[in-house]
Amino acid sequence: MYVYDKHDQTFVEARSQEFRDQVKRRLAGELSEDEFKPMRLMNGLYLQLHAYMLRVAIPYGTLSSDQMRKLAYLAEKYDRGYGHFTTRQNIQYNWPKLVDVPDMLDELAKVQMHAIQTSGNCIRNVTSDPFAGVAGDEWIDPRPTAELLRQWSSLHPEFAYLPRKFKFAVTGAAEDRAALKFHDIGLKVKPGADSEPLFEIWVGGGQGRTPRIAVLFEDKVELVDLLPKLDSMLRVYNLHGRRDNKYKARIKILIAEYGLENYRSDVEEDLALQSLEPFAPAVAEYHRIAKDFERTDVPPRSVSSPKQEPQSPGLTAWIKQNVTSHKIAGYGVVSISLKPKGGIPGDATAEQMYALADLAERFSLSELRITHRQNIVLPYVPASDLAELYEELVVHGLAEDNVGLLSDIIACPGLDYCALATARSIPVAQTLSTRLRERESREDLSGLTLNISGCINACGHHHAASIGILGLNRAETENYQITLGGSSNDNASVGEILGPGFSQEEIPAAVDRILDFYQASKQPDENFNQVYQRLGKSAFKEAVYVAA
Amino acid sequence: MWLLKKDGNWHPIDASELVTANRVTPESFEGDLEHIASTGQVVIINFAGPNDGRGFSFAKRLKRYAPSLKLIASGKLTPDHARLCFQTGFDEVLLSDELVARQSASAWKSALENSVDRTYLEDKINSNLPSIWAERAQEINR
Amino acid sequence: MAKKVKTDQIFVLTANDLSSGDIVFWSGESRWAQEITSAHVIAANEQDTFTEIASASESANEVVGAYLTPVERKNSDLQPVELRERRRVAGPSIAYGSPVLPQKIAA
Ligand code: SF4
Repeated sequence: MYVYDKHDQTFVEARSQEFRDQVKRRLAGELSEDEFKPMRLMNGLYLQLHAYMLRVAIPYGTLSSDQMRKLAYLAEKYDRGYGHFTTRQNIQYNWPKLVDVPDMLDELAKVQMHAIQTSGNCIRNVTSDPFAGVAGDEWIDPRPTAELLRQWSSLHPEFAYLPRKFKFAVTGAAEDRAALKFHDIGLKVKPGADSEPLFEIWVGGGQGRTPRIAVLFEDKVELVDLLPKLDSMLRVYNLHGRRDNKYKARIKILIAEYGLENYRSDVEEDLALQSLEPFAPAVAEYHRIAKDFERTDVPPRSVSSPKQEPQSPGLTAWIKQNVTSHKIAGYGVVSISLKPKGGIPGDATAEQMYALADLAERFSLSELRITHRQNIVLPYVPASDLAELYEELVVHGLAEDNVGLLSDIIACPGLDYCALATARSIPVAQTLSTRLRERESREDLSGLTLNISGCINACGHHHAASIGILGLNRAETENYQITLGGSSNDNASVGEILGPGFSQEEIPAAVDRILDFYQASKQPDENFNQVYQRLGKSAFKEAVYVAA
Repeated sequence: MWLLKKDGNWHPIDASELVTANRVTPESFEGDLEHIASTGQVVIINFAGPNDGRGFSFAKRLKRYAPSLKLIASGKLTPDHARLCFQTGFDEVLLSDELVARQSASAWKSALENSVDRTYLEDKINSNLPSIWAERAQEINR
Repeated sequence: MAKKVKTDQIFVLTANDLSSGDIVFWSGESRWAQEITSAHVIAANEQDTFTEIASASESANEVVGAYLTPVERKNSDLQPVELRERRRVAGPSIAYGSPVLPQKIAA
């Protein structure tokens, strides 16, 4: 993992100090709410439906046991004993007090964490592949690039007031586990000559009101050129992105309205003016950072465990569903589901976070990951320890064997917490997960996804799911729209609206009818989106509405 | 009117001293740099609102194109914009009497002193401390 | 509330406490209360007066984001008319933070 040097440490401490001063001025009345709001947002502090909410960055979703322990401590000491892991690999606390936030930031700084740029119209926390460094299909670890971007973008003086928020994702493997093409900029890292990284730059993806899949901006960009290019890409966006309508302010709209070619030529023109001097250390920085991510402390393990103990069916099912093969023989990558039957997607109690920190220390070289599907990963578990780990997870209510199944639902906080929400998402997820767990015991529901958002902002990635659910407010009553056929992988697609919305009570039956029709229509080896593309919306529509 | 310098100090200025300055608004950001650079030695760049960051990028471009120009930020700014102004190429920040009366001169100085004014790529304002990356590079070469 | 409202529509003034973030309601006695039951009921023609009270309290840095929201009386209780406001007053509809029961190890 990346370890802060004295400069990084001084930097986050200074940022915490700066925010403390801003809070002090706000409480003293020297700053009005209008003036303070952008400052608190740039430090991840929202005013939500019921209270303040603090969003803490977990850069590229990687954290240590000590860091997880600190997150648990904050939940216990300053919140109501739990936290919510988000689709951007961050954690949110739902009940902090403004007066406590400076202390929370100081606590975070002690373990090399912060809340810098987790909100606001700036470059947000960079997300990445939760299996980075351990996946068998990886070409190159994306995290050194993500950390380089974190450093470049942190408190970047030019990009604090962009037209709108700006999200980066970085991947370096054959399978896209980070929804790359739904980001403002997605970087795909591949090894070039001398195994130096080469970058594909994808631009203009996003969800929200106008979902768009990113387009290729440039292929085979060398490391030395990467940051100057990104700097120019952001500068052109900052100057030309729309500021008259927040729904048209993301870079996806600039690309659509201004045209990719015009955008590209403006970027080239700006690049010609750039002073490259500040970027000169970037290549050496990349390699310095990359060294930290190389784990040289992974002890070799024998591939077959010495004695084959009989496994309980629970363990067998959990291994089959939640453990992925590791690039190092004798190890497994363990996904821990935060989607228990009937539970709240992405929520973990302080006790569970403490337990996860301890388990990572015992079984996974003190390393954890957060996934964009709101689960936890232990990336270095010896195959011979799986049974013991499983038993511990059972004790803490963390052993649900549904990772990658339909009941592994993404849900945003929705109207239970979010000030922008138009309907609740959590209760819908809870009801569906209970129903779907039952179905999953009888039939194969792998390879489909179900995502729920509580408003058109689409934090719950509903556009990118096989079955997407969007909560709306129709005449002060919650109403839910279903979309079908979305996907966030390499063949990213945006789901299509099926038809008129449903009440909260009608949703489970509607989802059942979709699944019944899919199961009855699928041919061997066909997945949901293939069936959907083959039969089309009208066939599904008929099955869902006519049968009703 | 008042002018804020990089060191956090102020001095009052009479509007007549700036009559010859070239005033640029967000709308004319599209205008070509050559024209702006040839119109005068002092350019005042106006910020349309506290959340409108175009002025920062525009200043950066203009300063690179014509380093000898003197750039002054004006418009709807708060004390916490001072760091951003000085790191993107502005030489001074112009503030109205009304703004200074409400926010107090000390708030601007304090925001500048308390801001993280040295980043990974930007040198510390008003000091000879280089950017974090530049310092690391020096450490490696030592 | 710039929308057209019925003349018999009633309102309450609500906000969040600046330092704690807690939801508060104007009680009519120069102070903010935690419960909607203590809220002062505002008539449609009194809206301007209370909008001024809201800005004054914001300027005094007691609360943030103060606004009037329409309510109705339900069995002598006050209930907001809008979905969002009903949820805001009622709190999250889910049992949060509760420890998840350990599942049984399948035998
Ligand atoms: S999708 Fe809407 S309701 Fe859900 S978290 Fe995002 S803004 Fe809130």
